[in-house]
Amino acid sequence: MMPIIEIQELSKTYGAARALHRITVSLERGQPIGLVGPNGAGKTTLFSLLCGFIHPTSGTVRVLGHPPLHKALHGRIAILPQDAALIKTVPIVTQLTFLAQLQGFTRKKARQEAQRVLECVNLHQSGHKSPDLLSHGMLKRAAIAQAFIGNTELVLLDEPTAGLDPATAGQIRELIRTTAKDRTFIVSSHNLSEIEDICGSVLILNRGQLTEYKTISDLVARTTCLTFRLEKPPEKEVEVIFQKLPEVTKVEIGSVAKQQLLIHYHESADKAAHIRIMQVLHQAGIYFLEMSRGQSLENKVLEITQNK
Amino acid sequence: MNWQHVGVLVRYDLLYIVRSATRLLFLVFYGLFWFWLLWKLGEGMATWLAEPEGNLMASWILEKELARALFLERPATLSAYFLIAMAMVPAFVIWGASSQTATDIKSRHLRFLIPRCGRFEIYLGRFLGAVLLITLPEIVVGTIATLISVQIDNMDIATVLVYALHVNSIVIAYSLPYIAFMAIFSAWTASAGLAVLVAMSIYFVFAMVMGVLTIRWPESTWIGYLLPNALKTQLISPDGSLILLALAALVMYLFIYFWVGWYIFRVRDL
Repeated sequence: MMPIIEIQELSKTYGAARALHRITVSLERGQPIGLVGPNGAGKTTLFSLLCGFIHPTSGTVRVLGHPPLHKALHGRIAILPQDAALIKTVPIVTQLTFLAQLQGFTRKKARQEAQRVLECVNLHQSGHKSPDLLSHGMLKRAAIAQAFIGNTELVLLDEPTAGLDPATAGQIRELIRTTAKDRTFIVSSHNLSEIEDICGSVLILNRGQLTEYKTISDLVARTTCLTFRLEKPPEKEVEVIFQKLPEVTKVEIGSVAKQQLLIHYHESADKAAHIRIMQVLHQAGIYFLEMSRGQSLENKVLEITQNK
Repeated sequence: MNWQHVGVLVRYDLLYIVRSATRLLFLVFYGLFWFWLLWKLGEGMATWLAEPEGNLMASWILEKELARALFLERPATLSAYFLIAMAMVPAFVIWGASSQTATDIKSRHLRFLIPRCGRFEIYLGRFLGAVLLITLPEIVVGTIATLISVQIDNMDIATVLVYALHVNSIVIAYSLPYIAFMAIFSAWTASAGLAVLVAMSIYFVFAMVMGVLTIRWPESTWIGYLLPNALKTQLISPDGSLILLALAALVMYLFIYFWVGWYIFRVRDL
């Protein structure tokens, strides 16, 4: 199957500043893809290049088999741009109707489509208002709504839930999950638990370079690991206390969060292994504030981006 | 190019215009300016130019033949409107057509449009929106000036109407290259205010430099043809062949400015 996005040796510089450097990657259709990395990693620049908002300094991009801005892409890709503003004085529903018309809807159908997407983001009651009368969160929802107009094949969402209250953020995540069957999402976010929740794979950018592109299950151990947040950083030789547990395969102290202890165990270990690990910690006088099964993507990304 | 997209974008822009404070301010100022001037013309301000004393005074400012052609052989009120309108076109167009793509480049609103339509469609749609914003009020004002001329100029209606068509066509044709001129600064500066400032500066500095240059080096007059106002004399002249030549040149200005603006808009990051 043709990749949904194909990037070859892509670089973008702004004057002397290097935003992206020689990125080569091929993304497949399917489960949502997370795009993560620290501030200034190049996430928004990458989205802007994919949509043709900006031109690359070198390298090539192909989206759905075409270069960005190709007319064959019109209405087939959608984006929630991070910093784009709707027209302040024109009602939201009118703006969405125009955008739907640009995607090929007739005027009547476009209005219905605008109402539909406003309902998706729970904004249908405020659709008649102009953006200068809406709160930041409502504006964000209106901008999200426009990305769901029509049947696009690829949707790029730049920080979709930033600035939203937890309930609305949950609704947006649910909207992504339910519509992901028909389209491919690429979601950029600093909220890594959100990425972990909705995405199947993750693309990690750091200082303009592609650091990892893997499925989340390949990147982080989800089932054969326990993560503890301890009261204080453990001794370096902490693995010694687990010698008496043969099912423990590896003990790691968090490279970024030093109070974190990751204990990997054998796939064949029984469920009581968790209890035995906690008993060993208790006997050694190591107390934890929090325990979770598996390794968090957040820690893994921090580890990758801060160590490289 | 998808003309349906262009049509939607023009309608979108017109809706934007009637809800934009800065563009409404332009229309209000434009309306007030012409209301006052048309009121004065309606009181017969220009009819005395058709009399020998008035025409003598007019020939001090214009060439004698031109003053005679404009105010004695043609409806004087409409001619006065013609001269004022032609003089005001650069200022009004520089102001009114400044925001074509600028405001939306700055606010990044275009990022909602680009995945749905082509850059050229956006550029053309905004240009056509600006053309409507400028020419529709010109048509309204031109029509009122014609009605006043029918009322107070001592000419038969057919003569006035034919001349009105001539006057309004030339005013509109003269406006178009300036709208394209502003498309350049709009795409370049990404700020309507800055576009006005830069275009005004260039226009006035250029006019001043040309004034000095032509005094010292009369052969340098050709430089003046970088801007369409060098054609104003030909456009208001009674000589039909000169007018046709000037109109052909206006088309060239229009295409050149439009293309330069498009090039800037095409290559720039949005």
